[in-house]
Amino acid sequence: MAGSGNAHLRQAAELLKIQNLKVEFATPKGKTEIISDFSIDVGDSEVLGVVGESGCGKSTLAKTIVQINKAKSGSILFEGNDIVALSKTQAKLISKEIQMIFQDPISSLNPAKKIRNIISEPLKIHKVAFDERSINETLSKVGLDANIVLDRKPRQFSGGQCQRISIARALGLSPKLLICDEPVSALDVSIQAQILNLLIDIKDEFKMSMLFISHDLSVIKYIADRIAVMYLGKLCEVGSTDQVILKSSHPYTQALVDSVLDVNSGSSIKTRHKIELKGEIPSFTKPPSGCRFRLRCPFAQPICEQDEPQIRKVGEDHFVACHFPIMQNG
Amino acid sequence: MTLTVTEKPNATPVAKRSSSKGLGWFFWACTFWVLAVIILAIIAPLLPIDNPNKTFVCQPFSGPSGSHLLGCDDLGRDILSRIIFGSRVSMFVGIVSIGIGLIIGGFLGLISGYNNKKLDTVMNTIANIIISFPTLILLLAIVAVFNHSLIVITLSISFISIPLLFRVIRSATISVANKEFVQAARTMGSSRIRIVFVEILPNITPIIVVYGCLGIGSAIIAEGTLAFLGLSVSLPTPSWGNMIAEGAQSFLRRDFLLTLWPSIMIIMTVVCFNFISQRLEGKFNSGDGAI
Repeated sequence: MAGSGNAHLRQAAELLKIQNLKVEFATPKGKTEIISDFSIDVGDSEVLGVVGESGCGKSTLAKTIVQINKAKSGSILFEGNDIVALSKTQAKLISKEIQMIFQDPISSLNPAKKIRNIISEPLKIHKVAFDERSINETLSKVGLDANIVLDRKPRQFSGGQCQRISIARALGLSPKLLICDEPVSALDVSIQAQILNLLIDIKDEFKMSMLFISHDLSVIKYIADRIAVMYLGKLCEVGSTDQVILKSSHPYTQALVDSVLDVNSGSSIKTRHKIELKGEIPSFTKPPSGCRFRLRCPFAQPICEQDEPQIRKVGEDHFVACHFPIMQNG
Repeated sequence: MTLTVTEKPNATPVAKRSSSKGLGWFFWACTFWVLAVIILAIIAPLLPIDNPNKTFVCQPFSGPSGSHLLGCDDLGRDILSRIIFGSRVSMFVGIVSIGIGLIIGGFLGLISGYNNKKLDTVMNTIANIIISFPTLILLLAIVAVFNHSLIVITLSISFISIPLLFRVIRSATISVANKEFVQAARTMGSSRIRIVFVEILPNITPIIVVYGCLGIGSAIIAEGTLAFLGLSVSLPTPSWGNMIAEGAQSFLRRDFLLTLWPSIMIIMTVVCFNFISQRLEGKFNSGDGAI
C-alpha cells in the first residue's frame, strides 16, 4: 500500500480536492514528512471517512485543510480555490466555509467563556449578524435547551453535551464542509451513537459534506459514504464504504476490518485466515522503501521493497495501492 | 434515533456551582483592611484630622493621649495624621507601579507567549538580564541617576516589576496557547490579536489578579525600604518608611512607639495583600476557573 498516483480522483467538480499534498514537520533530526503525496477528494453532501492507526497523519491532514498546519507542496482545492496558496483575507473567507470539530470536546471549548460567547464567537469573527433567536435555534438543532445552556461555562457540562456545543458552534456559519477529527473517540459508547446520529441528521439538513476522521472502522462504517484508508502518511485504499469494508483489497484494510469485532453477522466469518497486525507503525523519520506497509504485510514480495505501488482501479469506485491486492468474490 | 434529546436531567446537577466553599472570614477581614487603608488614603485631606506637618505644643514622645490618639513625634506632629497621610505614598506606589507593571509586562507576556518564537527569545533574554540585577541595588541606582520624587520611585519600581510579571504571564500564556480551544479559534479564522485577547486573556486573569496582589505587597515594602534609607519622597511629606526611620534615628532619642505604628501598618497591609493573593490562588486552582 502506501501508494502514489491520482487514478482515484474523480473528474466532476468536487467540493474539496487534495492533490499530491505534502506536509513536513521540523524535528531535531531534520525535516520529517508526515503526509507524502496524498490525494483525495470529497464530493457535495458526501461523508468521506478517513481511517488509519494512531499517528498515521489523519489529524495532520485535517489541520492542514483548516490552515493550522502549512502544506509544503501540493494543492488543496476548495471550490476551485487553492487553500495552500491563499492570501490572509481569502483564507479568512474560506475559513467560514470549513469548520472543524475536535477530538476532546471539553478542551476544545474555552473554559473561561460562557456558552453564549463560545457559540457566537465565529459569528463575531466573520461579522455575521445574529440575535438571541438564531443562537437558540442552532442550539435546539443539536438537541440542547438554550435556557439551560447559554449562561453556563463548559466545565458544567458532560463530554457529550460539550461535543453538541462544539457542533452548534460549527453550524453557526452554515459551513459547506465539516471536518470531524475523531469527534466521538473521547465519548462513551452510548453517547457516541447519539453524536453520530446527530451528525448524520445535521449533515442532511445543512446539505454539507463531511471529512470524518477516526481510527475506529465501525464508527466510520456507520457514518461514511466513502472511505479512505491511510498508512504512514499515504493513501492505501479508497472506495465506497461497502466496497472497502466488504471487498477490502489492501492487506492493511483487511487487517483493520478483521480487527473489528462483529457480533451481529455470524455469516461474515470467513474461511480465510484473519490478518493480524504485528508491531508498531514504522517511524516517519525512516519510512520503509517501496511500499510502506511491506514490513508488516503478510504478502510482501521482493518487488514491494523496490517499487512503490501505484493507485489502481480494482472495482467500481474502488481503488487500491498494492502490488498484490486481495481479490474477493462477490 | 431522533435528536430531540435535551439532556435536561443531566444539565441541572452539573450546573451546581462547586464554589460552595467560601473564601473564609479571614480573607474578608484582609480585604476590609486593604479597602479601608485605600479609602482613608484617598479621602485623607477631607478627614477631621490634624495637618500632618503642623507642630503642636505637646511633650515630644508623649505617647497616646486624648487630643493625639497615637501621640506626637519628636517635632510635635500628630502621628495618626502622619500615618494616614503616609499611606497615600505607600498605596500610590504599590498600586500604580504594579498597575503599570501589569499593563506593560502583561501585554508583552501575552504577545511573547503566543506563537512568536524570535520575539519570545529576545524578550525573554532581556527580562532575564534585568532580573539578574539585585533589586535594591538597581532601585538605588535608578533613584541616584534621577531624583527621588514620587513619580520616579513609582516608575522605577514598576520597571523592576515588569520582567517578573512578564515571565509569569508569558508562561501562563504558553500553557493556554497549546490548548485545543485556541486551535479551534484559529480554524474559525480568528486573528492573532483576537485570539490573545478573547481566548487567552480570560484564562489568565486569575493569575494576573493573584500576582498583582502579591506584587503590590512587594512594591509597598520596596518603597518602605527606600524611604527608610531617605530615598523616597522628601521630608516633611510623611511616608511609612521615613516615619520608621525618624523613630529609629531621631535627633533627640530613639522612639519605640514612633517606629512601631508605621511598622504595624506596613506589616498588616502587606500580610493582607499576600493572604488575599494566596486565598484567591487556592480558589482558582480548586477548579473554579476564571473570574
